[in-house]
Amino acid sequence: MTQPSIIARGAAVHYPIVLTGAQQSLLAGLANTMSAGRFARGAGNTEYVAGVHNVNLEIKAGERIGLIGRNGAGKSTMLRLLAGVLPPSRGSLLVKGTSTNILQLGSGMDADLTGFENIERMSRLLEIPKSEWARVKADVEEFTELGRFLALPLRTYSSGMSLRLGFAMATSYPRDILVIDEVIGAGDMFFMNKAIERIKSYTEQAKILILATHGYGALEAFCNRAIFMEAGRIRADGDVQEVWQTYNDRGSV
Amino acid sequence: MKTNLFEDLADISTGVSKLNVAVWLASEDMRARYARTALGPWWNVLSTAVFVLALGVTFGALFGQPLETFLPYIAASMACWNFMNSMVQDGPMVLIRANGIIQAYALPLSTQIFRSVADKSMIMGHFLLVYAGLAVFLKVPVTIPTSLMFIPAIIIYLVTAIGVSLAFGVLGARFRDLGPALATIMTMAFLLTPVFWQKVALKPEQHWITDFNPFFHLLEIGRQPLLGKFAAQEHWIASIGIASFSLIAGALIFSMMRRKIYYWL
Repeated sequence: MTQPSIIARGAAVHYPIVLTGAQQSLLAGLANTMSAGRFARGAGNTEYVAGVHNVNLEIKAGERIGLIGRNGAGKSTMLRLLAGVLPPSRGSLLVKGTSTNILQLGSGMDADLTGFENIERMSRLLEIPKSEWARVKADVEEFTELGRFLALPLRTYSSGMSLRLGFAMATSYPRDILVIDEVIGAGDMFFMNKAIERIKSYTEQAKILILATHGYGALEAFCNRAIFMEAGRIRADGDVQEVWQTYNDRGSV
Repeated sequence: MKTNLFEDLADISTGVSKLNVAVWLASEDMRARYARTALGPWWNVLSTAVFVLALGVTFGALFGQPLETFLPYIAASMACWNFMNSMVQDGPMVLIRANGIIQAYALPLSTQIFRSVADKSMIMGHFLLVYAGLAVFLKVPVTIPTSLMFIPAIIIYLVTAIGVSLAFGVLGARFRDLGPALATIMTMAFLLTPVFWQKVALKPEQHWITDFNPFFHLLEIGRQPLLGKFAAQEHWIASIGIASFSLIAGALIFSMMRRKIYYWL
């Protein structure tokens, strides 16, 4: 079996922005073409906003990466890119191995279904083999400590409780790569400690973790490599403490 | 970029290999849509049954048609028409609606396409059950050879539907006008296609209305077997052409736009 890895070469993400309705409309586009630009002038070239620029990155098995940076630095875009959710609009990205992500809380969950029903639902969406369902269910039940809440509809859950369920599901049947956005901050201290244990055993099996965070606590606890992003570019990459220092120095300037 | 096109086509074949996920998602959609209702998907059928009955009685009287043949005609027409209509009209929403799952899970994009086709097929199944009841009650002269012809018709329907959803799914995510535009077109198509009237009502010089209408050919191959007749050969030839064109064009449009679509959802 090959080791999981992620290699990005000059990868960039440019989001199109739709400013006027005309840009998103087929009819206006046609009118624009046929009238040689006289009609629907708004339909001209779409503008783009660069989420991340020119990313050159190599991530190897066993690495637990912490992504830091200010709001709008491109962390979430980077996560979506590395999770394989967003193909690069330029450059190349080669992902070896299967991946799971927790980018948005509650994706794929159904608020009207009970916790147990949602476990089955996500087991199917995550394509966990049927033979593993019973084990996954028991594991999630034990990890989340949701007890009788698992028999109630998800509507009745707090955001911390949904997070526990989502996190437990994403890590219960480990894939090669796990990508987590800041949502994990919704958990309390007890959850964090359990999550750290789980992530450690997860990455011991030569898996990759990529986590966006704002706190040094989570960075130090979860990660063995840090990447500092600024204005869509990687500014520093390497040792957790050093990169954190660079980030802080920048912030104080 | 040539290698990419094959990669994008592979999304469709992966979707085929994961058909079970698509069918399960469709059944979940059905459950969620009618959660906590007493009649569930039968609401769809009930409203159509009322429509068929009302239309049958009124137009039957207007056109001077006997009810025992006109009612099954409308019921069979509506079962087929409803499938085609919902496939076209719902096409642009298929990927937009599934955004949450698309962003979070490693499933191929085409799973959402197959999910929609499976969903519409299940609804058609309900209509066919109502039709079967009506056919037995009114003693529609269905024979085994004619009803066997319904099987290739369904295959042609499914192939066409997959192609249409592949194309409209990605186009609808990019061009948000497509949905309302198709809704407008389909209202017109419903009136222009002999769904509740019959082609014999047209004068020969008006035949182009049906001859160049793809919905008419598809409708004929589906409903004639239900009414115990064979559809004319021209309808089969036209329908096979429509299905092949739809599948090829759909697969190409889908593959060309697949990567960009994540940015437009």
